[in-house]
Amino acid sequence: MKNPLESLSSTVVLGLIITVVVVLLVNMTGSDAGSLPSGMPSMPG
Amino acid sequence: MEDYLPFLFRYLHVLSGVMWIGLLWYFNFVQIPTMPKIPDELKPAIGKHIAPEALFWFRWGAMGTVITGLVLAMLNGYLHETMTIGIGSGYGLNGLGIGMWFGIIMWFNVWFVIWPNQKIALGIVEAEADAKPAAARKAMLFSRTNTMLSIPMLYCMVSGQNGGAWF
Repeated sequence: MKNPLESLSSTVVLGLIITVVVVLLVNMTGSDAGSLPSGMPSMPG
Repeated sequence: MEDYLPFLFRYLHVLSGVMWIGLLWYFNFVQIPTMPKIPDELKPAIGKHIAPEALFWFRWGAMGTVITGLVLAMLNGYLHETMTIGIGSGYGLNGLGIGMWFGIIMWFNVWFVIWPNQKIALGIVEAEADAKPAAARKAMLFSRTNTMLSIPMLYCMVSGQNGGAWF
């Protein structure tokens, strides 16, 4: 079986799949998940 | 000054990140697919001149991105939570932390796989002639791996600043 990373388009598709998996994992673990920890502003001021 | 430092490091992080990922995508979307179409006598223009120069800015862009990113996380007080990706925090998995780990894995690939193998493939270091194709292939596959990881990495990074990215 050919390595999917040999193909650029397969590489991009795999990257998008991993993105979807990460989004699902983060959302499955809690309503506050994924945002910056509370207590510190993300931007100064 | 204390308020300015996080902004400064964020700016430096984005500058070096653009250098790194811009060149990563140049290698994968432009150079690698075009090389087979170049006549053999013209290939040294890439192998001897363009690629080494691009690899210099590429690997130091990676170094700058990771260092400034870690400093930024420390200045903003979330280095621990992101490096543990929120495990045990009670808030669930930390998306920004997942993205940071993708970036660290990508940095490792650059410095400890892609660059050492490219030095062999491009003849920058002495090596057996039959070692070059294998080194070139390994460098290519790990560069493709980094291209693949750059997609979720950037999503996680942008989501850290845009809470609505996680529904």
